[in-house]
Amino acid sequence: MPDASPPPIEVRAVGNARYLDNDSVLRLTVFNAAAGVTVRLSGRRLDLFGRTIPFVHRLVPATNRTASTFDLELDEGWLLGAEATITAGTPQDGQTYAVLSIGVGRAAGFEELETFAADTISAARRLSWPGTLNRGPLDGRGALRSITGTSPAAGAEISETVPTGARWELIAFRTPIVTNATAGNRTAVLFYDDGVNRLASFPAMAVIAPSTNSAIEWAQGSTAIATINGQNAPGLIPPLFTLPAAARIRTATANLAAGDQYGAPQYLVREWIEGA
Amino acid sequence: MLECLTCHGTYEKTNPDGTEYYHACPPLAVHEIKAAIAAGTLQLTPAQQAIVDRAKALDLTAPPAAGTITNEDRALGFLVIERPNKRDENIRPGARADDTDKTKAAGAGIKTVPPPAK
Repeated sequence: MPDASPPPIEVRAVGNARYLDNDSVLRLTVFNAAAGVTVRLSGRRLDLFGRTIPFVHRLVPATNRTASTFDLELDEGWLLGAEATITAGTPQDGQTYAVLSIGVGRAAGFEELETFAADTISAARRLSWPGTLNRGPLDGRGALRSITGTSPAAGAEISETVPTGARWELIAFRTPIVTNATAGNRTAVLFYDDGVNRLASFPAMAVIAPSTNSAIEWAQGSTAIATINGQNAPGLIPPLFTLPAAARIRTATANLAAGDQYGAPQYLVREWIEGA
Repeated sequence: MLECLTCHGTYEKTNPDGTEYYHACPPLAVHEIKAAIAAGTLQLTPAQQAIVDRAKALDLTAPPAAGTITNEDRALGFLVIERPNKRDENIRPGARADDTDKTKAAGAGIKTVPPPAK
């Protein structure tokens, strides 16, 4: 029975097309922190018969900044172009980072041979090859996130941890505090540690008296002003002080009593994905 | 809303923007360190004890003014004493996607609690 396929023709790919043999695998790797994201891998390849073959696949990445991958086995030919785009979800620029690479093997046996495009992606920002340069996940401006932290038990301090696979710059931090009647003004310090050792401390600009319902704030560029109606005691934190994964943002409060109650802190960070 | 059964802090597992939140217990506060030492459940390392002893001696020779923090409390405040059996929900570095438990430390676990009244 005659073969229905046309005979192979001599194809000379031009431009940036990448030659693929029968063992080649196109891998999409995504590091993501945003919820509800779907990434589409699409592109075109040229087979040995001169046919242009489109491909479209989808990957729902994990939301914990670990690597999620999709492997596409390709027949011999040339890769003409490839693209990673967001088709569901609305990650900010900096929350989703995609890498396109070629290798051999699949899943845990994948051996990467060549990365040809890498960058952060969003609904408005595509990763496409040819065209996009290889950029690292820390090269962009980062994503702004407002986070509600843990409300500690009575008498406990606040401690917030930079998640695995993330890098943070703290922009603003606010926490309510209710003090009981135990004597002595409470003096709060916000400080960073590396998970063990203190790195830097930033005092609040006013003390909190006993039997007070108040809030303490720290912010980049804030001005030290007097407490207004007992509601604010702003402190200054520095810009460009980035914290790696496992570093902590903590309070240390002199004279903190067992019956004092910090509320859940609300804080704004600039976050980059480092990948877990 | 969840309550950590180690530190009894309360938190939401999902942030308002849909991202995941990873709770980790705070280290002990100064009054908790003092209580643990008094109860015999915490023993400072010799180096930590030496710092605290020097601070206590300073407080004896130059007592702090009423209402100000003592040198002892200041020294204890600089110590980082992790909470026993602390929970840390952050992902273990190197955890594989198909690992059933990727957290660093489960601690005493969690329970669901109603959110505080507003």
